[in-house]
Amino acid sequence: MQRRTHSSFLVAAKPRLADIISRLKPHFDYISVLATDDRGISYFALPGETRTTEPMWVQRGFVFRAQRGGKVAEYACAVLPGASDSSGPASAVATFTSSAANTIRDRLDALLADPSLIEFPQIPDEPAVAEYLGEIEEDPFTADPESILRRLAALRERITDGKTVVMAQARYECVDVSRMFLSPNRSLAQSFLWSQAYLFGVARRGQMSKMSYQPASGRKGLEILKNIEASVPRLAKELSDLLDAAPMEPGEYEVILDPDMAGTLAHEAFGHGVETDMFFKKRARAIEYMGKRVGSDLVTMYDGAAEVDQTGSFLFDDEGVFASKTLVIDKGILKSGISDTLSALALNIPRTGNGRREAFSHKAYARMTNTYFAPGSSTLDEMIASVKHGWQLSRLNSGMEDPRNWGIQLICMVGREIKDGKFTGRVASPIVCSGYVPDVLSKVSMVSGDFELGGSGACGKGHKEYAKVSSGGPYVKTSMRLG
Amino acid sequence: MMIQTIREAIASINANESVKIADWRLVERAISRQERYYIASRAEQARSVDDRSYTLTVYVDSAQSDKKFRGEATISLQPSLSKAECAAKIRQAAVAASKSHNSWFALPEPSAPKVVLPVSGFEALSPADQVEVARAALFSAAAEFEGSARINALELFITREQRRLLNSRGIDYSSVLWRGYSEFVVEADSPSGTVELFDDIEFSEPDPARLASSIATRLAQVRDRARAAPMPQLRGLPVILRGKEAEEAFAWFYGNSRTETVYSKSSAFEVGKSVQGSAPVAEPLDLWAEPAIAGLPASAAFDSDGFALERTEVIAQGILKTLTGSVRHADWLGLQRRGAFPLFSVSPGSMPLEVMHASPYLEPVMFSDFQLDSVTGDFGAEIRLAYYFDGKKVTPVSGGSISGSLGALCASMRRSVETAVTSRARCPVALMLTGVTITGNT
Repeated sequence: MQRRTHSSFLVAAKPRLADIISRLKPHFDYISVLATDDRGISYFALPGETRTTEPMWVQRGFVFRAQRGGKVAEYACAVLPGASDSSGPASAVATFTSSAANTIRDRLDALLADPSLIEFPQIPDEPAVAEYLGEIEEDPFTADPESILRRLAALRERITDGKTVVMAQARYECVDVSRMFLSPNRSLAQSFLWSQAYLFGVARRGQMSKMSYQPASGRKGLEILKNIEASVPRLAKELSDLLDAAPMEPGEYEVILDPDMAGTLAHEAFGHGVETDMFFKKRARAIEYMGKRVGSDLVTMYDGAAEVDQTGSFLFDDEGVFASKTLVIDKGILKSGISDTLSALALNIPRTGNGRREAFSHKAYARMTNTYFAPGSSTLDEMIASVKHGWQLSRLNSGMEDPRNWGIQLICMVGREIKDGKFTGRVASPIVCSGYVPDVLSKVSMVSGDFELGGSGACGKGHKEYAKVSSGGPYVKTSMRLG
Repeated sequence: MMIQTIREAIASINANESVKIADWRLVERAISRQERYYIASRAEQARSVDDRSYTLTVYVDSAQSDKKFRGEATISLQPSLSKAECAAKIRQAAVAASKSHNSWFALPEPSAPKVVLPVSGFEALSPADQVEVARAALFSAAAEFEGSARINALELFITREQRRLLNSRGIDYSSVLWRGYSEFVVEADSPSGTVELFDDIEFSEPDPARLASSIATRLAQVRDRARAAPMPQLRGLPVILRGKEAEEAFAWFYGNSRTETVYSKSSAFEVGKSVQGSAPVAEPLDLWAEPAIAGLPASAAFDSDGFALERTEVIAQGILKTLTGSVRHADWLGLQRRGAFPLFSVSPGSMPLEVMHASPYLEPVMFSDFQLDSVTGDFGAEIRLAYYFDGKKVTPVSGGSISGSLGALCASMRRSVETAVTSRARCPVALMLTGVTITGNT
C-alpha cells in the first residue's frame, strides 16, 4: 500500500493562511479558512479515439468564513488577494503583507452589511489538531498513461461485437483530495485518493437502442479496474437481454432491490429527508417524525463519513467538523438528522460532520456522505424464493427525493420478473419505481446479509452542488409501484 | 501573466523535450459572483466569489505508414501554480497526449464572428444592485400573488465571466458572459399539510417580467398541488409535456444529430433519413442549431474550439439534413464543419394549446425528476403535479408516473403553435405524445 502525501502547495501556504487568520480574528466573532488542492486525471477510451482530461472535481482555492453579530458571510477566491499569478507559495509567503488580510476583511465586511442576513448562534471553534493520509495500491499519477489507455481500449473492444453491442466506451478517473482547515483554534489536514471507472455499452436492433453500464469505485487507485474487467461477460449478456425488454405493465409489485437500488432508496427517502438545512427551512416532514416509526423493524439506516471506507469517507467536513456515523433509522424508528454547522446551530442539535461543498467556491450545505441500510439475516436466494409475482431491480439510472411530501422516484434500467419464487426470463426496461416513503419502508419484509457500497455517482442538492457520495447496503425486499 | 507563463512553458518543452506540442488551445475564465441564500425573505448567508481558471489542451502529432495521428490531453492550470508547477503539468499532459493516436484533424483558424451578442443589462449595475434587481423581481411575484402560496426558499447567483479563448493557430477571442441563476421552492397549505414545488431559471438579463413570471407560474401550480387528487389509473390518454420537459424531448433529436454521437454510433440517426421512424409521421420536425437566443446565458459566437457559429438547419420535415458538433468528428465523418452549438430552436407546430386541451389528456407540469436517456430515448418520472382532463373538467392530480421511449413514440408527436424560450432553446411550449405508459397511484 502507498500512503498519500499532503499537497505541497497547502503545506507551503499554511503559514501565510495562519497569519491571515490571526490578523482577521480581532475583527470578527468567528473566522476560518478552508484551503483545497484537489488534483485529478481522467482517461477515456471512446470509439475511434482515446483522450486524457481532468475530472470536474479538480480545484485549488480558499474560502474564508466570518461571523459577526450572528451574521455569516463567506468570501472565496482562487488566489489570495495580493498574490500575483505564478508567484508560487514560497514567494507568496515571502511577499506577504497585511493587504491580503485587509482585502479579505473588506469583502467580508461588505457582505455582512446586508440587512437581510439571519443571526445565528456563535459558531464553535473547539481546539483540535488532526490529520489523515489515505492509502492506495496502484498510483494512477505515476502509472504510464499508455498502459491505462490500452487497458480501457481493450475493455471497450472486448464488449463491442458490432452485431448486438454497437458502441462502448470505458472511462477511469481519480481525484487526489487535499484539504486544510484553519481557524484560531483548529488545524486540520487530510489527503486521500478516490477513483471511479465505468464501462458503458449500447446495444441496438433496428432503430431501438438500449444502454447499460458497469461501475466501480472506492478510495482506491487503478486497482478498481480489475472489477470492471471481470464484469464484461455479465454486461454483454445484460445488453443482449435488454433488446428483448418489454415496457413494465403498471402496477404494485413485490420488488427485490439490489444494493445499489436499495442504497439509493435510503439516500433519497431518508438521506435528503434528514438533511437538517431542510429542517431549518421547514422543508422536511421528517422533523415531525423524530422518535416515531417510519419503517418496519427490519429497517436500520446510517449515514456517515466515518467507519466505512468509500468515496464519501473523510476525516473532517468542509466546515472543519470531524466526520461521524449517524444512526438515522433504528429498527424502523427515525432517530437523527445529518447536519451542517449553521442549521445545527439554529436548531440546537449536534453537528454531525455533514457540511460539504462542491468546491471551495461553493456554499456548504448539509450533505450525505456514505448512506446505507444495515444488513439483515436473509439470503438473496431466500428472498427470490419468497416472491409470488414481482421483480428484481438493478442498474439504477436516477433517484429523486421529496423531503416534504415523501414521494420517492427511482428509475432503473433492468427488471427481471420473478413468479412463484423463480425468474421467468422476462426483462422489463426502463422502470419508474414510485411510492410514499413510509409505505415503501413499512413494507420492507426481508433484508439480506450482504453489504456493498457503491460510490461511482454524485449527489446534487436541487439541480446543482454535486458532492461525492456512496450508498448501498444489502438486498432489500419491499413493495413499490412500478410503471 | 499566467498566459505568458503557459506560452513560455510550451515553448520550453518544444525546445528541450522529445515530445513536441504541435498545437494547443487555452481558455481563460475570470469569474466574479454574488450569491444570496434566502429563507422566506431573509438571507441565511451572503457570499462572493472571485475565481479564475485556465484550461489548456495540448495536441501531439505522430505518424505511421504515411498516416498522421493526433493525440490530446486537457488540464486545468490554477493561477496559484508556480512556473515550475505549471511547466511540470504541461509536460505531463504532453506525454499523455503522445500516448493517444487518433485520426489527425486541424484546429480552427481565426475568423470573424458571424453573430453579435448583446451587452447584458447587468454590466451597468453595481454588485449590490445586480442582486437587488433580480431579488426584487423574483419576490415581487410572491407579493402580488393572490392566494396562500408563497416562497419558502430562494437561491440567487449573479455571475460575470470574462472569457478568453486562444489557440496556437492565432485565435484570440474575448467575451463577457453574464449568467443569472435562481433555484426556488414555493409552498402552499393543504388539508394534509404543506406541499411544495421546486424549480430553477437561468437568465442573462435583468428581465423583471421573465423572472416574476417564473415564480408566478409555480405559485399558481403549488396552490393547485395543495388541492390535487391522487392520480387515477389512466390508460391510453395523450400526454402533454410542457416547458423544460418538452425542451428535453426536442433536445434528444438535437443530441442525436451531433457529429460526436453519430461518429461514436451512440446515435442511430443518419443524414438524409427520417429521425421520426418509418411509420406515418403526424407532424414532421424542423430543428435549427442556434448560436444565440436572447436571454439565454449559453449564447456564444464561437464554440469551444473557436469555430465561428452561424444558425444552421439540422432537421427539416423530419429528415436529418446536417450534423453539428465538434469539428474533429465532422472531419472524421467527412462532413462540412458546422461547429458545436450551445442552443437550438424548434419550429412551431400546427396545434394551438386550445386545441390540445379540447379532448381528454394528462398534462404533467412538475415531475420529481424527469429523466430522458440521451442514447435510448427512454423516459420516465414520478408526477408531482399534473392536470387531468376527462372531457368535462380539469382536475389537478398528484402521484403516479409516466414512462415510454421517445424513439417509439415520436411518430405521433404533435407540437403546439405557441413557443417560448426555455433553458437551452426556443421551442413549442407543449408536446403531445400518444402511447405513453401512465401509472396511477390509486
